[in-house]
Amino acid sequence: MKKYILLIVLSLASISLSAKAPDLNVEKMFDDTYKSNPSVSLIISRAPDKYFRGCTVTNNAALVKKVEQLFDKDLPRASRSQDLSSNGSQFRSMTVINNGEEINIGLGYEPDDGCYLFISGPLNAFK
Amino acid sequence: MKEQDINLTLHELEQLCRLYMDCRLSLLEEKELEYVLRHTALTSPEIDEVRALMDVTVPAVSAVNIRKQPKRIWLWLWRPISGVAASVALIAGLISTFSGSFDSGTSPELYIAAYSCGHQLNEAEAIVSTERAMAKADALLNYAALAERNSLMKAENMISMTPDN
Repeated sequence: MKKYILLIVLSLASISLSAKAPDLNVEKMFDDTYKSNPSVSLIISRAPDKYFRGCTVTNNAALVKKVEQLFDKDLPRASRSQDLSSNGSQFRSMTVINNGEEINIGLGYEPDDGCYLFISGPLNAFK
Repeated sequence: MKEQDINLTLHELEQLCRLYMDCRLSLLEEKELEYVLRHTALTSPEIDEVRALMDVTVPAVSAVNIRKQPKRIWLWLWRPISGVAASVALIAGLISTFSGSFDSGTSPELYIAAYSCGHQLNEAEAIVSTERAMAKADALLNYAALAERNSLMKAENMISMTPDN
């Protein structure tokens, strides 16, 4: 009996290891902590072909700094990144590969101590 | 969480808050910090800043001091309860492994949730907000791709205009 249980556990472990979640630092902005934060607006959309999350921060310089730090922590994992700055507006983006799929992460800065962070990619990239 | 964990000194709690601000805490540690902040009356500018970020209010003093003694019956019930909890967790894990879903209680086909300024939006509002947010993200990515292409073209033009070429 113990052998069968061990076999089942090992099978489940191998299945769950074959596809892993990206574990991005920026994903922390979408946990329950920020759902009730008055400076934050969150969008979570999951469709069969696309998983999208957007986070808008308004009038909260400290939180913008935190988002920026989370973004910077993910930057070493990016296969491609870009920093754009023109006419006073700034936009940063990076692409992270997970499960062989591309995840696009963007961070746009807003003038009122705010920012817009989004994470987007095919569903398989997040499993 | 054990009671001893909540009895942190002001200095220790400030250190944890600094780690949180530097994004050096794991998700679980952040949850524990949030729990501690909900149950301790300690305040300082650093602690209050993290409270504001987590949207946690300072608990009333009476709520902090009143602690019920654990009842002996819980000791008797602990083993069966933990057994049932472990079984439920195992079944939930199996279901989530095979269904491949992220959030409990949602359809794997389509899931939309939107929160604006601390309030959950209804379905219609959430759909509109999602469409706007996706359009904004697409516009930013398109703008970035266009800017990258323009920069590359400029660089290629400059190289082709040099006398060596």
